[in-house]
Amino acid sequence: MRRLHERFLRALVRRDRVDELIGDLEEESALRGDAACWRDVVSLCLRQSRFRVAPECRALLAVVALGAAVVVMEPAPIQTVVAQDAAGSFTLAFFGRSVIGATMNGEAVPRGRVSRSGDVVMIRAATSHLDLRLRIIGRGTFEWEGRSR
Amino acid sequence: MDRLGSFEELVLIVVGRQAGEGYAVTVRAALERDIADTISLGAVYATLDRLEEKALVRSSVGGATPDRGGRSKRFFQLTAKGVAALSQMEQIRARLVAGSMLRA
Repeated sequence: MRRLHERFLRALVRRDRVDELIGDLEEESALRGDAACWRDVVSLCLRQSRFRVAPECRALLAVVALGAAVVVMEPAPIQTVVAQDAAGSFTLAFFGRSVIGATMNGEAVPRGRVSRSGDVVMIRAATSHLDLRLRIIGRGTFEWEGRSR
Repeated sequence: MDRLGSFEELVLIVVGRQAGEGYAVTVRAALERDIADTISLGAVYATLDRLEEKALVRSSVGGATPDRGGRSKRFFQLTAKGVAALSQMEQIRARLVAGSMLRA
């Protein structure tokens, strides 16, 4: 979320102030919630804008920017997907498009054994022939090459 | 005399109280505590900028810290003109209150 704040600010606020403003938000984000931080981002983009914004346009821009922020902030539900192939069953817990947990044959996979590179997630099993390699194609959806017994 | 809006005056008072150590985050926090309302960082910055244009405050950059990702802060302090403006507002308020029903 912080990186998204930073991207908005770098795109829209005065260049001579951008680092100070990002620093302020970083300091505040630890204390305030996401909604409060997004309000700050919108207010800074409007009032410290590198573009000249006519006062009568500011209200409309604020509505558009807040609407975009609400869409971005919409929390993704946690989804648990159960799958099976010849090597056994596994479950994946998704938060949006991110895999946040996994089990294999009923046993939890330690976090250090789940890695991600782009859309590809590797889950290393206790024995290598049971390793899973899957590709995330959407929220809670993926494809993988079935493992053999 | 430069006319001060009510929010400008509040920001000027807080900047004075923070004695050169104040920056947008601390000014906002003090205002929210005292007026019990939510204030956006953009509003605070816009007001500080206006006060600086009126030469009632001046700013300087410094104070980079790890919790800010190593980024500096912009500190604000009152100028002599800012102190005079606050003093003048206080006298005006005292005169107005003295002639009104608000007097105890």
